[in-house]
Amino acid sequence: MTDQNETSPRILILDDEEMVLTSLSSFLELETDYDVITFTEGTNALAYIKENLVNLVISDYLMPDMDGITFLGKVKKIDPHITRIILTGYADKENAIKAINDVGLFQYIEKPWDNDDLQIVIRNGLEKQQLMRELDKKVSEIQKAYGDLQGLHKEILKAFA
Amino acid sequence: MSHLITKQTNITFDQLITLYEVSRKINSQLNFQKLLDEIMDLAINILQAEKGLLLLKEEDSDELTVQVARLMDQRKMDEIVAVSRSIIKKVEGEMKPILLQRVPDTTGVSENTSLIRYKIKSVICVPLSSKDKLIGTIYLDTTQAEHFFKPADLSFLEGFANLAAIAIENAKSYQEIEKLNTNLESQVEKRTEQLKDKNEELITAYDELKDAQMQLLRSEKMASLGMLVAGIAHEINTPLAAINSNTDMFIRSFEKLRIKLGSPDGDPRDALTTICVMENLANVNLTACQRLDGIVKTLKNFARLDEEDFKLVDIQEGLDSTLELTAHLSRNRIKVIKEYGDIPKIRCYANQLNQVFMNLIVNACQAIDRNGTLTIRTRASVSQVHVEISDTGSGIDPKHLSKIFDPGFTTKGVGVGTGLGLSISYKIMQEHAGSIDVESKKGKGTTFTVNIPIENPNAPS
Repeated sequence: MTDQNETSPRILILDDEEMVLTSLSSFLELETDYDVITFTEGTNALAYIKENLVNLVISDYLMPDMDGITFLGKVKKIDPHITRIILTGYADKENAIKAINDVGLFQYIEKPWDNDDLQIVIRNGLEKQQLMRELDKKVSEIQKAYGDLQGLHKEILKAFA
Repeated sequence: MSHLITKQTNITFDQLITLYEVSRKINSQLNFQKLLDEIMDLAINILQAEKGLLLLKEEDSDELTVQVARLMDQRKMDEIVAVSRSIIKKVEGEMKPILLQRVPDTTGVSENTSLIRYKIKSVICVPLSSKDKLIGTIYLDTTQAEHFFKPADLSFLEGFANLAAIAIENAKSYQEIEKLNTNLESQVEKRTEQLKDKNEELITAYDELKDAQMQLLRSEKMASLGMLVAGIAHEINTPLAAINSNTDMFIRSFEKLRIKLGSPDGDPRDALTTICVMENLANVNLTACQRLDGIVKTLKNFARLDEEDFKLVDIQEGLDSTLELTAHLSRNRIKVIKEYGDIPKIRCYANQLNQVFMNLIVNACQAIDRNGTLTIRTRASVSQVHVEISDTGSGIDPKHLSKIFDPGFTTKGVGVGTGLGLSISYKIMQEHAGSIDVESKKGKGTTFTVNIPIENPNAPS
């Protein structure tokens, strides 16, 4: 986690349509320096997330074996700091938005998407994720410092006792 | 009349002529009051009496009351008429005519002082009777001379009275009939008015009903269309999204390539990656376009827009199109099994049959709450083709089974179903001389069987 800033952020995309995966990954590979990995099945994607560092996940909503909301809920359980984005089609937008609040998603992107908008959403999502991670780091640093201080405090008390 | 003549032997020929005249006159008068006036006038004039009274029995009180009272000069008498009540009473009681040729006489009836007081010399009074019942009397008197009225006059007046009684009864009946008639007419008029009002109400109600039905049909069409549009929109969306993104990528990449290849120190090998990606995307676009083409073909097949209405078709093609257009309802949760048998092509209104399949498939998908199976089976019998659409859904409540084809019946809830899908499907099948059967087990599922004749007797020639 410490070398986070030195490697490219990793983005995982899940969609049962190869068409969508190719379009999205091609765009991100050519226009950004993100490390993009794609999956067509939720279980494989979850296995990958458990073993590897992923910064942001984009998932389709309607998929054969696991719907996007369920998938992203599982991602949240593995690592709550991973930014989660859902890709919704025209017909299921309403259902998706309802579910978004339940799972706590960063954004939804509507199909067909605009590449520029997509890039901004991803950038913001990564920034948020990085800030959260940094905040966590700072909090643990402060906690460590506080612990150190408490130790010091005890030592001082002991010295004066 | 002949009876009168034989009985009244002392009647003269002239009197008979007069009676005939009288008969003609009074029988043509149907107005009751005018008739009474006429009878009185005739009696007075013919017998040259000074004063005449016509009394009739009141129906309710059974008492004789004066209907007409006349002097010779036809002035109506206002003051109480001076008559011998006892004479009239006697006539009423015995139903026999009385002739007093001089007053006072020996019969005793003339002892009445009023006759003397008014110097009445001669009196003649006859009963008016009908069917042996007294209905009134005619009374005439004079102050001129004793023996003024002769026995012949009495005979004449008796005859006259018989005719008058008949005429009076006729007029009475006529009056009653007229009264009934008027009553009836007003009742008929009233009823007609009521009927007219009801009719207008019915026309309004019918118009309203027709409007409501039209609106329902329209909303059913809109609901079907909405279902279709949602499916198509979903199907189009993915390839469209890919093409949209990829085209944007082409524009960006061409820009980059132009810069890279345009600069003097640009390495063409740098452009290779970009070109490879673009190639890849072009292939995606090709696939996307094929997908869109397939959707349009499916739609065309479903709607049969470019074909004549009644045509020889493979209805399995229609089933496939319909399944594709409703795929968004079953995707990810319902397993669709097709068990197509060897069935002949049939002549039918293909787009209408597709509408039936669409309704049944949508219902089946909606009946399956989460996961389940939708089975489409086709088979042929001697004269029919059968399409079975089976779901493993919630089933139909037995008490609803008899109502499912009724227009407007729905259990789907407000805004989901119009309750017309099955009734329209039923009608379409009737037009095809076919039928729809349903078999359902609550909690197990439902099977709808569409039976279509191979030779449609309703086919347009």
